[in-house]
Amino acid sequence: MFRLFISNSEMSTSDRTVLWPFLRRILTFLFPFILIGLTMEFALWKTGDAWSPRSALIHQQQSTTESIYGPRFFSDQFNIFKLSGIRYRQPSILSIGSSRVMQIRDMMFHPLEKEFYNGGGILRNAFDLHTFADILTREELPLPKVLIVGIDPWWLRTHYGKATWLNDSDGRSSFAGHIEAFRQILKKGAFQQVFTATSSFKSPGFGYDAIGTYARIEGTGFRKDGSSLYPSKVFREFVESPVYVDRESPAIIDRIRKTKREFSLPATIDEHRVRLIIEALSRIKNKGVEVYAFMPPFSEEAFEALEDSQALHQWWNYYKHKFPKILEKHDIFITPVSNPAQFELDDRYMFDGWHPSEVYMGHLVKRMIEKSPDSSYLKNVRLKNLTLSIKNAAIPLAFKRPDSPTAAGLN
Amino acid sequence: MAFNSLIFAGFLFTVFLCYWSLPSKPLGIRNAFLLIASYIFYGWWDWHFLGLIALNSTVDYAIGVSLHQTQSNSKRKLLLGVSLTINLGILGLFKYYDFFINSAIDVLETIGLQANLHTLSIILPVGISFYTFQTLSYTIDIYREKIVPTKNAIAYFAFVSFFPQLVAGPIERASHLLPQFLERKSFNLEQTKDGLRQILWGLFKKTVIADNLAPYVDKIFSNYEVYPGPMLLLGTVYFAIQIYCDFSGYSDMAIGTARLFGFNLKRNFAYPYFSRNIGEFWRRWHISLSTWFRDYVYIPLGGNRTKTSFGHYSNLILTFTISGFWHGANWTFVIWGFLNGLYYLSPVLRGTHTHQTAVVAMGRFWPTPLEFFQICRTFTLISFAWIFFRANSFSHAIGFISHIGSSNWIAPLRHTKGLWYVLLILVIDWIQREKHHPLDVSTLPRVTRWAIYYILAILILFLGKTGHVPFIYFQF
Repeated sequence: MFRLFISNSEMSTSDRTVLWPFLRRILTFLFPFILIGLTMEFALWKTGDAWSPRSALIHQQQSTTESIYGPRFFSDQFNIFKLSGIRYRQPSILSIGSSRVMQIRDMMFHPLEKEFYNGGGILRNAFDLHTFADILTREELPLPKVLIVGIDPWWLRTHYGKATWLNDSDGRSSFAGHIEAFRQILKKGAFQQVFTATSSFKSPGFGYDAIGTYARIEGTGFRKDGSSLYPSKVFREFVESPVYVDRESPAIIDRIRKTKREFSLPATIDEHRVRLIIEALSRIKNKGVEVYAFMPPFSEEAFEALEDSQALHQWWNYYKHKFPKILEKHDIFITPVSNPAQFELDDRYMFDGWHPSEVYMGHLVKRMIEKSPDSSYLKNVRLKNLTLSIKNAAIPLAFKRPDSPTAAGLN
Repeated sequence: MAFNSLIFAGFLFTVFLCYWSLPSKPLGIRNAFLLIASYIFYGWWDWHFLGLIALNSTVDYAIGVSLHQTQSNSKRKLLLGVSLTINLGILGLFKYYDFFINSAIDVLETIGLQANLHTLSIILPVGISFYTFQTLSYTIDIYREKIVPTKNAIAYFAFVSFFPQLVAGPIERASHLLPQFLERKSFNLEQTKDGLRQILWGLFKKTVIADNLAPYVDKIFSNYEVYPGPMLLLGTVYFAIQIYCDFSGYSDMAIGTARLFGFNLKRNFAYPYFSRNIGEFWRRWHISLSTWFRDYVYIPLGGNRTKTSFGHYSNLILTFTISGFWHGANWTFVIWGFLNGLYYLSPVLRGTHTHQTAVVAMGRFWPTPLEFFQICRTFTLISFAWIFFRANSFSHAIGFISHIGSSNWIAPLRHTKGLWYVLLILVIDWIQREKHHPLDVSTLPRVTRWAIYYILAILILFLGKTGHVPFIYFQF
């Protein structure tokens, strides 16, 4: 057989004489694509967007100063990033939920700052919580002593998410993810931002170490403790005009009034999802973890709109009144849904209709700790520091003002 | 490993380079290489089913040889029977068993009987309907003495599993494809270039047109109760274009891929939506399947040589109905086939079903008003039948159709962005309808050609769906 290969090599040589020029022509055709692709990849790597979430996390955690992780592209890496963060930090106090718990910060738990991690953003529905409970009870994640779980009202309703989002998907590892990133760079006019981010290593506003285009250009991303830092522009605008603005698009108040998205109709309770939540929390509790369920707040205007809405009445009332009682019946500590007025604050303490500022979140955490049983691990927290931080908060949105020279108008 | 994936691009490039680097003599080397590549390609989905395709090939290869050597009519019939039983038995088991059991349970329950029947819930091996038909035609053609069997087992196995057309056709006849495995091939630059053009065009149709229309179609068909009538009509048109671009896109990629290796596959689509009647449509849509059913079902049933006209008509309707059932184990496909059979009767009754063999408005740009009317009429009929094809169940289809008439007709249209995709494909197809495929631009200057290639590649990169949206016909 081997001889045949040699003796007939003439046949393939004639093919090759035509084949190679053809391949060269194909390469010539593809050259612009290859060149643009490699340039983009290099830029994305330089900004930190194309780093693996695990290596970005290690880089961040090993930084001696505060460091922000805020990639603009491959955004579906957050699950991996946060789960890696939990594994790395092995927190005694862990908060999880949607983006609405992301303002809980390590400094609120003094002197246990190092023992806290914010896993906010990984849970988007009841199925995610169920999956998280599976992972935690199988001890694939380190068991915390205290788990703070933010439960959103739409977790209880029908027609909101059909399955868990809590997977290991990483857009960076697929060709499709890179194509999508290139499209975003070119479509949204982000080209210049990306190339600026390749050479700028500090976040604007606070001047933290920054990994990723968003962190380097807008100053937004996850801190070392997993909590989220809003773009510096938000703080700058607030200093210039200290009024409440619903920064979500579309605004939460409009979503409620027009019954859109999370507030769409029919807003009915899904008993199965309610059971999933209770069962997940009970399982975690049975592993010896102190579970603190927490209903993230709404702005006063959003809260009022929810109270007034006839279409959402049944669902909202269930969430507000019946659900906390069910949790209490299962011995799960619950912090009920609130609005700023209940803490003698106003809507300036909200980023938008449903994201509280860190100052407002400080109030909520303080109340949670105060009401926790004497035997709770949370009683090791010195509330004096938190009270002082709240009292000395620079602006309603933040304890500290951005002081980097790049944060124009804030010095 | 789908044609619209990066892994396939890598696979194809590697196989292409290796294939042409191998000596062309003896033939067995390249054929063996193609066979291995095809088995890797198929095994990528689920290697467990490789045994099935090997069994299928072995049975028909052996039966083919025996059929040729046997003179006795009764023995030949027996051998053909064995081939039919094994091929259709495997297909029936994997594709139709659960359907028949569920249907039996439904029937028994409606007459008040409790059935204790169990379904198998087994996965349908991808491409089984296609390669089964290919091997069946091989033994039937040997039985009919239209071809002689090959003694070259490697060539035969490579013919059955040839990866470009393995999972969704075109369904090749041994008389057309098998001899190509038995001839020495040399690299043909023009053929390869045209193959690449056809791949590019197929990829464009799939990722840009079909995959972008798919979400609209899914939304409209899943929530038809909340959409007004015009939106449901729009959804039907979108699906007609989606399935055309999805399946013909696959066929273009399959034909183009085969051409890279010096093989010519059958044309499977010939601008079907510019057909002037149903007869013409079925000569232009999924041609390899239509002709298969004509040769191996319709003609054996008696075709048009029956004693009565009724026999002829019933043969037609039966053939279409079976063809519908071939698509999937669901009553919706049966009704779709039956409906097309009914449609087909009209030109048959008027004796016009064999008219219009040339492409519409040949040598002219615009069609005549009559031609335009005929094209619209055919498209409307076909699109209506597609509702059954797309619906999840018979009641879903009926609900959808009844909602078209009963719902609000003055509500504003949504999802109209999809119309741009519809317009784009129809305009390009119309301009190029006299060509073998729309990207047959070999006569244009190189600068123009490259500009067209770049535009298409950029459109694929910017508008094409990046996630893997499976080809619709993979489920069959």
